[in-house]
Amino acid sequence: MRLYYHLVFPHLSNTYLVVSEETKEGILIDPGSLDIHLVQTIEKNQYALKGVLVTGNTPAHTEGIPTLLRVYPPVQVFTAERSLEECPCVSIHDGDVLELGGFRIEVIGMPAYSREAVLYKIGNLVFTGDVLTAGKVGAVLNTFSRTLLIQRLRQYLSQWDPETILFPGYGPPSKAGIEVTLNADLNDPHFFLPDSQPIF
Amino acid sequence: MFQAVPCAEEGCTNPRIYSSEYCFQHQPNPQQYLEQIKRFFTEQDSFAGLVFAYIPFERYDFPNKTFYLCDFSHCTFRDCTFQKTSFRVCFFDKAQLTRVKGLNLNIYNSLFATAKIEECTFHESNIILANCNWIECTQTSFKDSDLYNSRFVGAKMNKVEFLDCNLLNTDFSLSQREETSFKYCNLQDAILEPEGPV
Repeated sequence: MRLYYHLVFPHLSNTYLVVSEETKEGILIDPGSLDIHLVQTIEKNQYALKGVLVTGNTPAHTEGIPTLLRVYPPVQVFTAERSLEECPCVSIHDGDVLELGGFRIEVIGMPAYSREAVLYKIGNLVFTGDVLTAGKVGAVLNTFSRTLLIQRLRQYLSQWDPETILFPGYGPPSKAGIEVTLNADLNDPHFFLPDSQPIF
Repeated sequence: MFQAVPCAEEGCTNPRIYSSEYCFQHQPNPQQYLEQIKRFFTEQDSFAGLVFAYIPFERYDFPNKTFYLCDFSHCTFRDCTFQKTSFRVCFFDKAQLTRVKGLNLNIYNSLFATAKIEECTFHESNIILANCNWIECTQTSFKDSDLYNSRFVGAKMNKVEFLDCNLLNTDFSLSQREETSFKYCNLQDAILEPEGPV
């Protein structure tokens, strides 16, 4: 697997290109823009784009989609929405498993953050979008949503290998083990639910 | 992207390191491996997707080297010099840096969370979008450096000097800052609240 990291201006968000070295097929994650550098990376290496994954419906993650669909017309966009930036999308749901470009991609819904927020897990890499960035849990509107979000994040982070690498939509990467043990938001007892209480 | 393949030693979960089937602890001849890796760093200028986890680097120089997506987690760097060295999306979690001298460094989108940094200097460097959350940093100097959008959430800093640094969007929330100075820095552009426990 080869991973390219791309900083998107002016949002300062992260776009990731994940490529299989054997097949030269790739997946683009959160295309906040499709600038010349990103196109050059794809074209110079003769990568075949097999899909676009979107973690959330904000311009920082979606603004590049219309350009992308003009440059690479057959490519499919996967998101929890039916359309983004007026482009049709393949709607995905929590628990779905996608097979794209030779990768097995697990879809993890985060409805407590927003209806369309999803995480994508590819091997030991997780693309967390705005839901979790290094040291911080994404802001939500009320305490109830925050409690549910923190509970769900803790549930997944603690079941993954601590060395699982988290690539957020903004800012630097982190690791599951570091976040679950040290992230103050995730360890705030005010947002813990009793174990017996069902969530979702 | 580096692949964390477990060490060939039975029961060991540490990742195997570059050009070996074993982790550093289970190297048949660690000294020979260190010499081999030193030669490798001298011969090449850029390195991508390689695992160097748990390796103790002592008195190494890394001038004009570029590292991309490399794993240095749990490494120790003692009396090393980084001059004009670039690290892009590299992993230094739980690493220990002691008396490291960094000059004209370019650190970009890298992970230093939970690292221990002692008696180091980072001068005239770009340390941008770095994850320095929960580091333990003592007697260290950041001078004439750009720390734009880096995070020091929950960091424990003691006798740390930030001198004439760009702190735009640098996040020091929940950090403990003892005898830490921010002379000539744009501290008003940094995120300082909430403070960590004293």
